[in-house]
Amino acid sequence: MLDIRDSMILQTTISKLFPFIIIFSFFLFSYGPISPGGGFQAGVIFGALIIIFELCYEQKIMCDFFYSTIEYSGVLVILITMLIGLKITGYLAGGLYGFHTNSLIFANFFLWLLNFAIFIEVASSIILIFRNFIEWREDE
Amino acid sequence: MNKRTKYLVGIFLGVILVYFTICLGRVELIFHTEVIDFAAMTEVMNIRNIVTAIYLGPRLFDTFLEVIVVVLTVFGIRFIRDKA
Repeated sequence: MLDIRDSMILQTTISKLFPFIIIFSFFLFSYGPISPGGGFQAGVIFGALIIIFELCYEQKIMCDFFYSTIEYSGVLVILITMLIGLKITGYLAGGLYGFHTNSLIFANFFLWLLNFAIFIEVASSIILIFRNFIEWREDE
Repeated sequence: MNKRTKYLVGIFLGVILVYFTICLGRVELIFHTEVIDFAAMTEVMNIRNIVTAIYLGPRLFDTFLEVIVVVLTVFGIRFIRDKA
């Protein structure tokens, strides 16, 4: 049987491009408010990278519980910010848009926080969806 | 797909084409002033990306529900896997 680790393309993709793809996904969600991108795209890129890694090296990076916790944390952050907005302005998705800074990333801290929450939620979900579609050897 | 179905699909598409050709002749072009409002919104939020201003601004609730859809997908797949 052909060992997937013998493939030079996959080796290069994973070992050389791994840190750059992670940085790119962080860049996408961090600079979402000022350039094209956002939490959804960044989450899908990060999740796909973890999936490729797990497929090639046939081992899990962190357990399912870890990703589930991160997934629910993302939803919780969005819910809490929405409820704080409700408390301040009276509308469910109403407030917290006033936290401005001069830095590029935190030009609007609330939008950065929302992008971050969406990023961790989507990345974890993508990984969990993939893991539920395959069967690991230790599960059998 | 048999011959009769192909004719029916062809006639159906032809009718749609004629309908749209006639209807588009009466379409009136309207300039949407909402774009100016959205541009002002980005200034209020202190950001430059108008797409982010919309999907995390007035459509935040919609974005939240999209996130919930992804969470429910994970639940659904787990449910199906447990049943299988």
